[in-house]
Amino acid sequence: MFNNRKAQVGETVTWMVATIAIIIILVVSVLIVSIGPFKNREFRESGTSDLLITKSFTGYLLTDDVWENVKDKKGFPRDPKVKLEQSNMDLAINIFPVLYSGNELNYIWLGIVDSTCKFGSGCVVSQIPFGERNKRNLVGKRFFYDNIKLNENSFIELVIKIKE
Amino acid sequence: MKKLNKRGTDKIISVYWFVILFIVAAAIVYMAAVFYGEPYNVRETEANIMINQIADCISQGGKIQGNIINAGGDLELTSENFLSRCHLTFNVENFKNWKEQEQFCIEINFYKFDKDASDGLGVGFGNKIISGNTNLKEFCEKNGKNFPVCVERNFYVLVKENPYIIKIKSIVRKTEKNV
Repeated sequence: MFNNRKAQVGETVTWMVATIAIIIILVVSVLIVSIGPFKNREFRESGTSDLLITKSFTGYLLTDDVWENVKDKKGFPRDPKVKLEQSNMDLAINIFPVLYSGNELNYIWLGIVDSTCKFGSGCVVSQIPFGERNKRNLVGKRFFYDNIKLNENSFIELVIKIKE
Repeated sequence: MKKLNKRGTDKIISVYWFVILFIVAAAIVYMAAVFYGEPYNVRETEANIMINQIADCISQGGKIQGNIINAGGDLELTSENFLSRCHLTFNVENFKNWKEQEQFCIEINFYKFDKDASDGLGVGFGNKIISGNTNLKEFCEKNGKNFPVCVERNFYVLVKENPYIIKIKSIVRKTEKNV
């Protein structure tokens, strides 16, 4: 008789603990959903192309003698220290940072790249000194990339990264 | 006697299981409703789509479209003809009082490119083009999800070989369906 009662009490405690566990799990789940990150959902475009940057890039290349200066870069020898013509650099330095307001812009890179080479700063034929051509800058949700082939060996590349 | 007791326990356990099942089902339905019931805020994307449409209407291949300026070099695009020329419409669905209060505003400014200015903006060119609900502009300085979303973008373009910056401001209200 005594043993029987002990078994009944044990069984009841097990059920009560199980019930409390289920209710706690449900309450926590409901709370997370109610106050969690699902509120204020923002939909943002993804992708690495931006129409306005492409238009500005094309406009830049058509300005004065920029295209004439860059199209004959043969891609060899590769030397990141070889810069584009001063006037082209000045123009680019003035154009691209103003496409986004200053606090939004994270990184800009513009230069001529050897297309026969794998990614890396060693592939740079010449560049505008905004910063290093670094693969680490091509990660994240908000960077835009555009390039135009110059000849068999090289292309001109623009990378703009926006703060997330 | 023992048999009757066991039957009673089984009944109680069945009721208990139904109650638990109901609570779990209700919680899942509530969570799904909260998750899928929250709207996506797509207004920034909508504003960007309008900016892209306008940029395509104004420039092509880095240069201004031929039909935007006349032979004398004056801007042909005006606040009055801008919507039809750029194939845009500000019509919205019949929701709340959206029909009475326009939900969009567009402002376009042309500036000569000034390399010495920190924002690249030199003197203005032509008249400001503005269309839609201009009252929405005053909310652009305010932060908060219940205010209209404002997106402002610049781009560089050549107008008869001269460099210009075009500034487009796009404002979308539609608060009731996005917040």
